[in-house]
Amino acid sequence: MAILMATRLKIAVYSGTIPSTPFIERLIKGLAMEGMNVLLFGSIQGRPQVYSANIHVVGNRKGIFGVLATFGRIAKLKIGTPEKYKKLKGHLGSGPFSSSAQFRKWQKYVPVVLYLPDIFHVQWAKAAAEWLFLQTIFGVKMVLSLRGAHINYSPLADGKLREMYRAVLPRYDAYHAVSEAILAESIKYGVEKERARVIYSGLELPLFPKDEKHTNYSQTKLLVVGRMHWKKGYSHLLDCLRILKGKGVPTVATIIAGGDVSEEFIYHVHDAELGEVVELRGSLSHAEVIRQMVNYSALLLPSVEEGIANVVLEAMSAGLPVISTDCGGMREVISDGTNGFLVPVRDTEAMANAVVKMITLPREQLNQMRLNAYKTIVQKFNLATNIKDFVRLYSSIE
Amino acid sequence: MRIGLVVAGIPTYSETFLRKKIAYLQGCKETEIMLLCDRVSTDKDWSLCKVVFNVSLDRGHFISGIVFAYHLVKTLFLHPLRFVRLLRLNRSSGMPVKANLISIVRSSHMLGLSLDWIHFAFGTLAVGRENVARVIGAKMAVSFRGFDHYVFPLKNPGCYRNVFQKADKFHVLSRGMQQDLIRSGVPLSRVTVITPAIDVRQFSFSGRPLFTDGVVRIVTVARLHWIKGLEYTLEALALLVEMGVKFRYIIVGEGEEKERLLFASHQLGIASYVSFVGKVSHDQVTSFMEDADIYLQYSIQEGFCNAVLEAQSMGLLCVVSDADGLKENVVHEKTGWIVPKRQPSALAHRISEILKLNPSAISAIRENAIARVRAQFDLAFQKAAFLEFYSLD
Repeated sequence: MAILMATRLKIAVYSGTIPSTPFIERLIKGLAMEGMNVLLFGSIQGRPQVYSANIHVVGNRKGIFGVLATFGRIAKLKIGTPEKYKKLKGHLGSGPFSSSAQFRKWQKYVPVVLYLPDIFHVQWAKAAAEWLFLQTIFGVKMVLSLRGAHINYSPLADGKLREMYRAVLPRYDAYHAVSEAILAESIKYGVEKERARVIYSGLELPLFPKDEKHTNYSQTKLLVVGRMHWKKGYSHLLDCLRILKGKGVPTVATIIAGGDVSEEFIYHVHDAELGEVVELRGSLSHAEVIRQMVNYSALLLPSVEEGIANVVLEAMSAGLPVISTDCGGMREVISDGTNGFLVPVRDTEAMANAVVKMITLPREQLNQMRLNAYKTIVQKFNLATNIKDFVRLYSSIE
Repeated sequence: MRIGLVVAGIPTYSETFLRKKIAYLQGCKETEIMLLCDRVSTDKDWSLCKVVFNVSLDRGHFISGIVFAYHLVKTLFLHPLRFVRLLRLNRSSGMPVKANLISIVRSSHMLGLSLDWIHFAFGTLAVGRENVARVIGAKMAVSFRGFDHYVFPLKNPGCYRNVFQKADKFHVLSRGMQQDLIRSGVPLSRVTVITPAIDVRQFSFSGRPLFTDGVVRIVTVARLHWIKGLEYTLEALALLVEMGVKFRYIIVGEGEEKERLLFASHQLGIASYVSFVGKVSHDQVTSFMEDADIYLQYSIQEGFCNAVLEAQSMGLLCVVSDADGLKENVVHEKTGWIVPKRQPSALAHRISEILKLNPSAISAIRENAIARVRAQFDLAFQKAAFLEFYSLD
């Protein structure tokens, strides 16, 4: 019954941009497939997306078209529902034409007020404060997703952010955490456990690849995916490669990293004489990365912080063995020796030992590990279950 | 002798070595020094010498295009001969047209000057302006910092090719850097090592006994930048905790890596033992150092490091990495200790070994360090080196 009622709900999945990240896009499409009406707000980036019928895009384009659209929306709001217009004006302090800064604010908020959803689901904690007015002024139910960076390290350095979280987070109606670890961290900022649900990221399941695909290589080829940010632990990766070189274990690492190559990274490769064993490739499409996985011995996640790394889930579903640090929620995915390798965070010696262990594992044991990894995804990380969990979460607050 | 010192911006209060050098040279008879400053600022505190500012092109592409054209034409009008000469020399150096014109505008504030020397305070400042000195009839000198020398060329290979050919003299901070330049084809006679130096009277030994209350006091004075190896330092300190050592670590400095380091100290479980005090005054820095037992500089890259000289002068026990100039700054097991970089367990191990040393061994290290800094790195003796640098043999 609850799920039937939920299909008439209008859910806004808000991340600030359209399209959003791959996992949020999966959520959007999954909810639509379950019959929910999904509203997308935010700034439109790049080429227009083609979405199914029950996904309604009310975004903001850059430039003159965006401005014209906003004029139209403001008019529609003022003429069609003047009380809503008045309430919004009260909240923003002045009308849309009092300054260019004010206009930009109206541009951002008018679409949401115009198409007022039943539930507004904010995808990133840093945006938690600015959208609460929807609850206080318009009675919209608010859901917040608790993900990696915003909860784990941003507030450590930023006192104002900590204050904001403590003031704002408890007022949300429900929460979704990407891992138990993140939920535990969020409770420090006032999130109530009873109103939160851990819902893991979900994948659509490919067929499990046949054994032949991951053959033994004369040289261990490690795949590392992730942009050059300190949380991705590239310095530990390079130190690990140096240890392996010192142990006489022929290992190369291919790094697929979008964005600028950091000076720190280039210097480290040069300094530690790893030029021959490190291959840097720019950003590849999501699908291409997955296609490439069959060419590698293992995926290595050297991160010092993650929520739950999606690339690890993808590797496990593709049959690629995984060696991961025990950061963030990774221990909720990998059990060392059973479905992958889990090493203590920042321990480069342990990381190198895990690589050696993987190489020397007898074939049947490695295959069993790969199968276990695939089963983990089926049981805990598949999109269909994941989406139903979200529907239950939304139903619970109506 | 008239020297034009090309700097990125007016030297900040923390660039003491540069300020002292300028003050000294300005005070010398028949020597005049002026700053040729790339970044325009309205710093009213600068009164050591004359300043000539470069043109400012910071206003967004469209407007700066117009400003650029204006300055180009203005330069041509004011200094036609030098303009043409620079254009020609740049072209023969292999500069494409656009880079050539940019080079002229970036040098426009120098073209009207009459100088004996143009001295680029950092190697990166000379890139693209290698011919200016010749055009105005001056000699060219270039100082290399650690960053210019070790890091910048990695993303910009061959950037100093013309600099190495055209400059008359190079100033480097260490013998290691001198060797590197010679390997790049620069004759030995053109490369002078002038290490940083400090005013030893300002960094004097307090005589305070070390390790007095069971808690080891450790300090580092450094920008929060990856080259300072602070993340490795924190990882080493976490290992020290496991070894049962009680310590307090103070990091004096600000920088872009603060979030990363704060996170690391939390994740490693040592946040309550580590303080990031940010940027403080000179006096406060000295005070933090006076209170410390051990000074750590576990850098990944380091030209030479003034702070380590200061620490040795004050009798702190210095443990440093083997990065570049640090190997010449500290004498291993005589004035301090050198630990291979990027190895937190080695650093932790070394610190725990130091804590087991008997008091006489510790005193010996302190005395050696103080004596050596006084004998070789006192600013008073270095002053002569500055003047000598500008007289070609």
